[in-house]
Amino acid sequence: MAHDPGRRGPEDEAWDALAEAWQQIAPPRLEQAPAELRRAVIRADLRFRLLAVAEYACYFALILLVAWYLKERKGPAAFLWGFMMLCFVAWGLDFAVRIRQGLWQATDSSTAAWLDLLVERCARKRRYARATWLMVGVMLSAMLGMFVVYWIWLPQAFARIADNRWTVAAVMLVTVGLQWLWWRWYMRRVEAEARALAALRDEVDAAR
Amino acid sequence: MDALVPLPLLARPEPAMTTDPALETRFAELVAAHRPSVGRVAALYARNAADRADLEQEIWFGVWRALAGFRGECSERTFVFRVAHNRGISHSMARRRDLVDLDAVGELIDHSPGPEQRTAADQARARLFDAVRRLPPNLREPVALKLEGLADREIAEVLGITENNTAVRLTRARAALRRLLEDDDGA
Repeated sequence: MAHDPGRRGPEDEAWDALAEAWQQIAPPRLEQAPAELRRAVIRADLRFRLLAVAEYACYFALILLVAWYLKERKGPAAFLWGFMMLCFVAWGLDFAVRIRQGLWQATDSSTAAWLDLLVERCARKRRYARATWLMVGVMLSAMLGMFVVYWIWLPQAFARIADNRWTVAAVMLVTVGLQWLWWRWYMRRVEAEARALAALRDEVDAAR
Repeated sequence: MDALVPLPLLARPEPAMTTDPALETRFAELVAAHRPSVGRVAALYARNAADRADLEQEIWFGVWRALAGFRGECSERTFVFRVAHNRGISHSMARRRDLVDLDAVGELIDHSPGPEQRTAADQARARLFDAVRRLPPNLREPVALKLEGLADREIAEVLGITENNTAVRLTRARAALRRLLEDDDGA
C-alpha cells in the first residue's frame, strides 16, 4: 500500500510525543563553546592538509633520492633498480592521491551512496594491495632476468654477483618477507572493514 | 587497470583551501542551529563520552570540509544530518565497536547529577535514548531522524531510499522501539 505522507493518524501522534521527549534530551555535555569548536575544526582542517602535504612530500623526497641514485650510479643494474623504485613510488603516490580525492565532498551524500562509496574504496584498497605483489614479482623477475643476461654476456660482472649470492638472496627474501608482512597486516584491516560494511549494507538493502 | 577508474563520488572536485569569511559565517550558523542535534547523533554512534566528543568534532570537521561544495541540492538540515550519520557510520566501523554499551548511556546524555535527583521525565528520556541506541543501524538512523523532526521526505533524502521504504522502516522501527520500551518497563 502506498504511503500517504499528507495523512496523519495515531501513529504520527505517537511519533510526535516521542520526538518531543527526544528533543528535550539535553545534548551531551558540550565542553567546547561554539567559537572554540569552530577553531578546533579549522585547526583539524589545517592538520589534515599538512599531513597530506607531508605524505606527498615524502613521496617526492623518495623520487629525488632515486633520481640522485640514478645520476650517481651508472650501469644496467642501477638503472633497473632505480626504475623499479620509481614505479613503486609512483604507484604509492597515485594511491595516496586517489584514495583522498573528493572524499570529504562525498560526505554529504545519502547513507546508501556513502555505503556504496565505502565498499568501492574497500575494493580499491584490495586492488592496490594485490598490485603491490605484481610490482614485487616484476622487480624480482627483472633482477633474475638481469642475472641471466650477465651470466651469458657479462661473465665478469656475473662472477661478482655469484660471490655475493647469499647477500643477494637475503635481500630478495627480506623484500618478499616485508611485503608479505605488510600485505597481511593491511588485508586484515581491509577485510574487517569489508565485513562490517557488508553487514551494514545487508541491513540497508533489506530495507530498500 | 580498473583501479585507475575514478569513482563518480570521488571524482567530485576538492574545494580550494579556503579561509572564506562567508563560509566561516555559514559554518558558525550551522553550528548554532544544529549543535544539539549533532550532539545527539554523535551520542548514538559513540561508546562513551570521550568517544562522543571526538565524533562530534569529526562530524563538524566533515561539515566544514563538505560545506564549500554544498550547492543547496537539499536543505541545510538534511545536509548536516547526512554528514553526521555518514561520519557516525565510518566512525563506528573504524573503531570496530558494538554500538550498544548500556553502561555508557549515563555518560552520553546530560541529566541531573545523581539518580536520586532525576525526575521521572529525565528517566523516561534516558530510557528512550537507550532504546534508540539499541535499535539495529538500519532502524536506528530513520528513527533518530524522525525524532529530530525531519519529514519522511527529508529522511528518505538522507538515507537515499524512497519515501515508501522510509515509511516501512519507520513502522518497523516504531514497533521495535515500543517492544524495547515495554521490556524496559517490565524489567
